[in-house]
Amino acid sequence: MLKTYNGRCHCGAVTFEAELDLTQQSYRCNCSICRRTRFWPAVATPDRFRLLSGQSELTEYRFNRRKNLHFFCKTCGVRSFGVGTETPMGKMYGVNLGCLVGVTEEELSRVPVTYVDGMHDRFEPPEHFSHL
Amino acid sequence: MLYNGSCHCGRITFQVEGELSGAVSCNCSICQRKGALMWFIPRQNLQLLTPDENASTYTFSKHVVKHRFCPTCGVHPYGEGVDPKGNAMAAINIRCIEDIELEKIPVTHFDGRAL
Repeated sequence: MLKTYNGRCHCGAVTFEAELDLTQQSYRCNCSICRRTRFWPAVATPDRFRLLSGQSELTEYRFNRRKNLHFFCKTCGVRSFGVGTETPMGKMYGVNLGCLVGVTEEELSRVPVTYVDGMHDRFEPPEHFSHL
Repeated sequence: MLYNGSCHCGRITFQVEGELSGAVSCNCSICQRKGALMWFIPRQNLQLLTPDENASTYTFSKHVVKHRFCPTCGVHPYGEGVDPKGNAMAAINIRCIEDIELEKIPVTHFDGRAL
């Protein structure tokens, strides 16, 4: 069920709200950037994500084919969300579940996780994923 | 053993000396956002191969831990602090270390949120 969640980076410069369904799949990936940041996104279509503050506080990072926009807060370095422009689901926002406020540990622990093999450009589970 | 690590873009690279026998995962307000797997070592065992000022610094609460991150790619390779005895320590995010099998490193979960 879609529900509106509020979220923020650590220092509070970046705040957002997103309509998410936490009974649907979230993602963990083994690619070079997700491995380092342990990015754990729930996905939202662009119309279901609203940046409430901090546009000017964000740094954008792109690499390789430069199709994914990786944003982080200039002050605390936290990555609240990213934008995939050509995902299997089209343009999507990846919202860092760790940045949601008012969600309990128990709720987070129940969010289903799909592991994907970004290291090999595959949207399938990688051979090893327990560390993700 | 000597380990090499880096942020994603390469602005921060480092070497760490020690025996990597385990790491800590924490659920506090910053760790749950950063998702780091931390390996605590004496600060002297961390050798930055790039200038110290290549990393940005974030502190909060008691401002005793320096959370260092790359201003270009946003990756958090290490933090710096002091242990209860006053020794300079570093917390290495082992997700930034190359050529290790991460899933084989035992992880201890720390309830930092409860502090």
